[in-house]
Amino acid sequence: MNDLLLSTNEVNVLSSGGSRLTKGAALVKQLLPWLLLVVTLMVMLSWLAYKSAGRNLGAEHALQSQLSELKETDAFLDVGIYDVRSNLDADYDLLTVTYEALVSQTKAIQAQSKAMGLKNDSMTKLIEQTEIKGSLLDKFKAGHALYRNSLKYLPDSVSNVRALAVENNAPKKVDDLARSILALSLDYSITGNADKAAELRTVAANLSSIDGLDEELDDARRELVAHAYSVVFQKSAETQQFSDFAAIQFRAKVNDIANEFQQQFDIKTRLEQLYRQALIAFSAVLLVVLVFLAFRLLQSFRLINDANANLEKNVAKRTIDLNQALQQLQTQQSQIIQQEKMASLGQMVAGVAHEINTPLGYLSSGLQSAQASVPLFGQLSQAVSQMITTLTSENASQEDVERDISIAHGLATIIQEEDIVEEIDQLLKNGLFGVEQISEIVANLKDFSRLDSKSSVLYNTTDCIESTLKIATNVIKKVTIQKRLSEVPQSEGFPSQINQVLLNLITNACHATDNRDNGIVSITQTFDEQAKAIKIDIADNGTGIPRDIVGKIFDPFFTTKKVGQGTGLGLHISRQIIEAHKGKISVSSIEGKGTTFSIFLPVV
Amino acid sequence: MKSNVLQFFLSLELLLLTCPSMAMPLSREPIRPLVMLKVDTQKAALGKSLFEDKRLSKDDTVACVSCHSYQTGGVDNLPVSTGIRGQQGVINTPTVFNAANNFVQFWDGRALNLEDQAGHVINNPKEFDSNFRLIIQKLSKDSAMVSEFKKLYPEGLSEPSIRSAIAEFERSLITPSRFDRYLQGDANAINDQEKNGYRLFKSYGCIACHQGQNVGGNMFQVFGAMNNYFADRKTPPTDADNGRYNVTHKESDRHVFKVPSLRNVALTAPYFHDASAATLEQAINTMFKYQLGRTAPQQDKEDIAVFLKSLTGQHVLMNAKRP
Repeated sequence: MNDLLLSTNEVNVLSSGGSRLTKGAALVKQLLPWLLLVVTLMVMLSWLAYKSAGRNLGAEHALQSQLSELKETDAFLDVGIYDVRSNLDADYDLLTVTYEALVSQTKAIQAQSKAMGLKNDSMTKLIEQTEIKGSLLDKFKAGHALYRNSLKYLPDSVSNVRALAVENNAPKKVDDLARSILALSLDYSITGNADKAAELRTVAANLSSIDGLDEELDDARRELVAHAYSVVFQKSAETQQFSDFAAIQFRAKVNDIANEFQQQFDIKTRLEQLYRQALIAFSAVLLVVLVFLAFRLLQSFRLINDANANLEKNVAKRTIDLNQALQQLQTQQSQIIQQEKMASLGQMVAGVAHEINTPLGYLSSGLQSAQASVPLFGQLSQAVSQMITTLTSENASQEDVERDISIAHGLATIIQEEDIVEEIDQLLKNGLFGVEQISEIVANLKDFSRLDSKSSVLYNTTDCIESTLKIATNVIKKVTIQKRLSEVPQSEGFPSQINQVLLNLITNACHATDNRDNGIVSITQTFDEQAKAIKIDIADNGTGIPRDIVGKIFDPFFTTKKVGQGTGLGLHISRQIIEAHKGKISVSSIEGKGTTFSIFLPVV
Repeated sequence: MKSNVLQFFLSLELLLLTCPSMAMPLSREPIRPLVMLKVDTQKAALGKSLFEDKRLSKDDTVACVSCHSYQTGGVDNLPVSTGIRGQQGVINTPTVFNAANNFVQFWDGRALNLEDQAGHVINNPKEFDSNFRLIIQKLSKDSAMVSEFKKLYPEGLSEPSIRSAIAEFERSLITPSRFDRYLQGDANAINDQEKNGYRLFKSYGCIACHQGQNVGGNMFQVFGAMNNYFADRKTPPTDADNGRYNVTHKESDRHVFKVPSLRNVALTAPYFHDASAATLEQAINTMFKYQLGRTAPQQDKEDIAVFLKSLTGQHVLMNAKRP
């Protein structure tokens, strides 16, 4: 019953100690889902925050202001075109530079809008429009240069023709047509009236169809007609170009694009608002959860405070409980050590009984033999007494005296002849030796099993070894014991417990050599000056301990013996005893060669 | 853009208000004085070495400078230039000086800027017959060149950085002339004949196309506006005669060319895309007949030629010794 109780206790203690290693892993396992939840929530929160605040409004404003600037540039270009049209001495640098700016700004906006991930098909179309505007502009610049030159030169050319016509007596028609060309071309250049253009063409054709003119006048006329045609052609081309310019509607298209972009921005804004609302909702939920957790935490704190208030009381109570448990445990432990000792003793009893039986045997037979001589001495005593009575009697006859003397003499002769006195003396001597032996065994037993050890005493380990060897006579008689015991200082402790350990180790050593003919158990005692410790080696040349179990031999309930033959506690208790003596016990074993147990015990 | 223009006028205004003692620049002239362009001098120096680097051509025989020589007005004074393997070009080489101020590049305006222009020459089988992959391959072996590119461009030696460096150098090839000093208010910078020539240049209408900072170079014009130049020309028509038509394939662009800048015109004979005019006088005659559609006294033409010579500018490289 006790055994059972102890074993469960032991197991409990061991299992709680061993689980410390796996405690960390278990904690992680327990916390992992929570950790994942927290991470997920954080990711969701930051994603929503990113989605609702990640937009660069500055870039959008910049893009819109770029579009405004583009409109300004286009307006500036248009102003430049009109300026050039009305100014015959303008240069084209400003137009050229402004147009280049228009192109580069448009391309920059396209690139920017593309980078911002906006749909910008309309920007591609706008670039096409700038190209159309560019080629129109080229045509305008070229045509306007020719137009202005012809228009400027016409008055001189007309004067030239008229002067030559007068000089050469040319028909009046030449002069009229020349003057008419001047008037019409000026009219047309100002009004742009298509009728005037047709009229001018007709007049010019009429002038060029006049035959028989002087060569010089002919050249001058051809020059005039060419310039008149040039004015008509370039002016009408310019008019067309301007209606084409107007048809481009560049700024209106830019406005459309700005609106288009704004719509896309608005969609983004709406989406952002949605995300923001989601963020707010999510945050609110989180807040509620946090408040709940805080509440729980407060509750826990309250519990802890309560617990703290009762802590001392609880601790005192638990301390008493623990002390009781400890006492119980200690009692159980000393009981189990006692039990083990009893078990060892039990094994010893047979041997001890045998030891005692031998002297008891010859003591008994000696006494029996001595008892057998007792009647003879009784008869002799009776015969001597009869003889003395006869001799001292008055009326004793010679015959009687002689008969009585011969009887006593006969008996004494028997005692002498058979050396009965010597025999009895020898028997008694033997008996006394037997008694001595028995009392020695009894003394050893008493020595060995001093149970009354309430306090530690000074003892010598050499005595322990000797005493144990005596007790173990029965066990060790099959093996050769080799003792090498150096003188050692005294130790302090419980010698009976040390005896128990030694007996256990010696018994184990002898059992290890059971199957060998020349079993040797050597017991070596040395003293390590430096460590101030006694070292006792108990070595055998037995079977050795297999490598895979050598680590377990000090474990409780570990045994290689058959069930019922060993408790499995011997070595465990031996270690506890040695450790209680602040010593150490170790083992080294080679399978098939033998085992050496070493005990280190500190000295006083 | 607008702010730049505004700033320009404001600064002009400020100049007029604050410096009354200074010579007053001529205002409202259709030709405007040259302004130096903002140039990264390190990139320009790298560009110069590329401009002179024959490795840009396939067989390492021709460099940009081979045809755009600094000492001869940025041209080679030949009707057409000679590309690699002795191949003759199809059109007269325009000058590299002040090319940065032209609104487009080439006679037909097929390149919108200098960066673009360089690639056309490199890839043209009659000119460099090369490509940027090959050039980068060659230049990669030149550790000094590679490290210079790495220093100046984040991406190091690359097609865009080669284009950029060359263009940056070309932006430094601006040649202010005596006439610019005249425009800036130095009344004695040109003589009376030159002044008269300028007056005639304007009154005859040359100015209608040759205006602005570059005295041209900011518009296209049809060649033979008033008389059919190509019909009168004795030589057979060429592909190059089609001008801008080759770029746009629009009939209205046939015989249309970029109006060339007249800066340094005295140095860049022969003239026109077909080099049909060997001298400045011949060129002026052609212009009068086919573009202005009028005649002028010989003296007026001479005066105009004298004025045009005052447009010959200054650049440190123009006087540099030939290597």
